Amino acid sequence: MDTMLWPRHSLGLFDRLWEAFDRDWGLPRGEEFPPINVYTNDEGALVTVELPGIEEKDLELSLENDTLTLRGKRSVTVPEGATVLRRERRDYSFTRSIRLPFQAETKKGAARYQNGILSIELHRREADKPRRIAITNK
Amino acid sequence: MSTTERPSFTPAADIYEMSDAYEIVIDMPGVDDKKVDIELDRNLLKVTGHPVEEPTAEGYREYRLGVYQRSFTLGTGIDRDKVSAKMEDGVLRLRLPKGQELQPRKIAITRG
Repeated sequence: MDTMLWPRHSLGLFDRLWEAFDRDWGLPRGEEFPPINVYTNDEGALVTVELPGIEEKDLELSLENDTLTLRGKRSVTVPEGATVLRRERRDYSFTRSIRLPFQAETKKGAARYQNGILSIELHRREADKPRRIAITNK
Repeated sequence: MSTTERPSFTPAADIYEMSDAYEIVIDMPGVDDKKVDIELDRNLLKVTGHPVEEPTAEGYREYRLGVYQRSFTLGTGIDRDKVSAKMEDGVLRLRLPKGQELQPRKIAITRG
């Protein structure tokens, strides 16, 4: 079954958009926290963020033009009276901004938090969308 | 990107000891309660989790989807029939109750 949330595309335009995106990003891959994945097409983007065990009240999102900013924190709670035998899970606190390769529609975005993954759907502004230009033969 | 080859990850885990039980807490982002498998074979507790799929389209990726795998060797004195688990927000919590012999007991002092 096809579970893609965003339609596959084969436009060269998209690839070039991606190149620009990678360049603009300017961050070493895999170094930032929290780790994110971004899936983009002509209509917008789906941003997914790995954030296990965070409470929704400790998570804040803001979107301005082409910049998405994430803020959040998690404190690992040790059960009362427990002895810690092993502690690998981290407390975390972060602010991270992502530049999108398009101007986003700030009124249309949607976010949900499920299974420790934050998913943010962003829509590209109508005026910013690519358009096909027909060639007329005379 | 190929979706057939799945890397395997060792997820971060905490282990706590309470007076009546041990608790193992494991971060497994992307895994829901139906995609986690917990097996107790003698003293070996094996946990496997598969994250929910993401779009297969090309994208910018900082984290990969794989299989979370982690094993724990349990000491004796765990009440094997009462081990329980719950999954919430990508965090698995396993509760391993101690058997009677491991639980602290109060010893009454009798004045003679």
